[in-house]
Amino acid sequence: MKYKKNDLDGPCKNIGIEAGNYIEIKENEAVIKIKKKWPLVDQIISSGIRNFVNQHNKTT
Amino acid sequence: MHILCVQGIRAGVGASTVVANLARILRELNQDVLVFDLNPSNLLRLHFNMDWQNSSGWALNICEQKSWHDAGFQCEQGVHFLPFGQINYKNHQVLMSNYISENWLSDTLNSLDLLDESWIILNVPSELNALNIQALNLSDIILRIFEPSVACLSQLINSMQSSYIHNDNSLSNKSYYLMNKLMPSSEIDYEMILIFNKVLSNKTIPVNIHFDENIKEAFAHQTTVTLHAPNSASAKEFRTIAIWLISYFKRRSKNYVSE
Repeated sequence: MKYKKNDLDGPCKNIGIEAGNYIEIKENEAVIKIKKKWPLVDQIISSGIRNFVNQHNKTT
Repeated sequence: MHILCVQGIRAGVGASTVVANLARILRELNQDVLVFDLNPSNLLRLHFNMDWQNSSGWALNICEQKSWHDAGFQCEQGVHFLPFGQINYKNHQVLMSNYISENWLSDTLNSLDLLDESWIILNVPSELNALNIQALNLSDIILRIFEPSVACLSQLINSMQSSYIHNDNSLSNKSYYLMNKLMPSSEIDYEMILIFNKVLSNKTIPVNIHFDENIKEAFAHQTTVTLHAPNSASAKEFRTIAIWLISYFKRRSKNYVSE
């Protein structure tokens, strides 16, 4: 449910989130195809991590 | 005691249906089962053949200064059941502010004369309040019900980012996810399964409940699909989940002993 993602380690550490304590949806060809087909799914998945980081920015 | 919390990711995903069916199957498997409805929608009683006009329940009894114990009854198939009762919004506010103390639920469950191996199934609404948080904290396992819809995905991602459950590791660790109302003929359902499996990883229960007209018909007969259509696909799926739960607790107690 919670994944480690190296390229987010830096930004997350800066706002006080422990490594691995954020959501990543690993994308493969099937996920990309689904995102293209259903715009709301694309929005939810694509904004998942960004919103999480923004929320923590506002509260810290 | 085995305390199981069943909570929908959002309202209407079928959490009460899951509670009623699991309770009946566990009873069929000779388990001692108490179902405690914490949902003010008060719908669970209809799966247990209570008259629609019958408004009695533990919350109503407390509001009317009666004993909450008196609201309990044993269903024909042997499940012990405590309905919520029909109360209005104002009485619900009074109940929560005047009667539900910090340890109300644990004190209440401890006051019951239950066997060590008994099952307590708590039907918890998707909205959180002080009582529902007590239920989640007390439980040994939380079964979170969702359907393969975009609305549920939205709710799930939101809750993973901000909810009480996902901010608390002890709650998050004991939460498992069960997919309900899956329609095999629906293209979007299958695509959503892929997305949910990506998001939830190993936290999904290895059985899905398929959409089944028998479930709706069973409710219209005020019973559960496991009684109404015992050979239906969904009844078999509910049985598999009940067995998964029994083995979950067996594994848990084995690990506890070996520690």
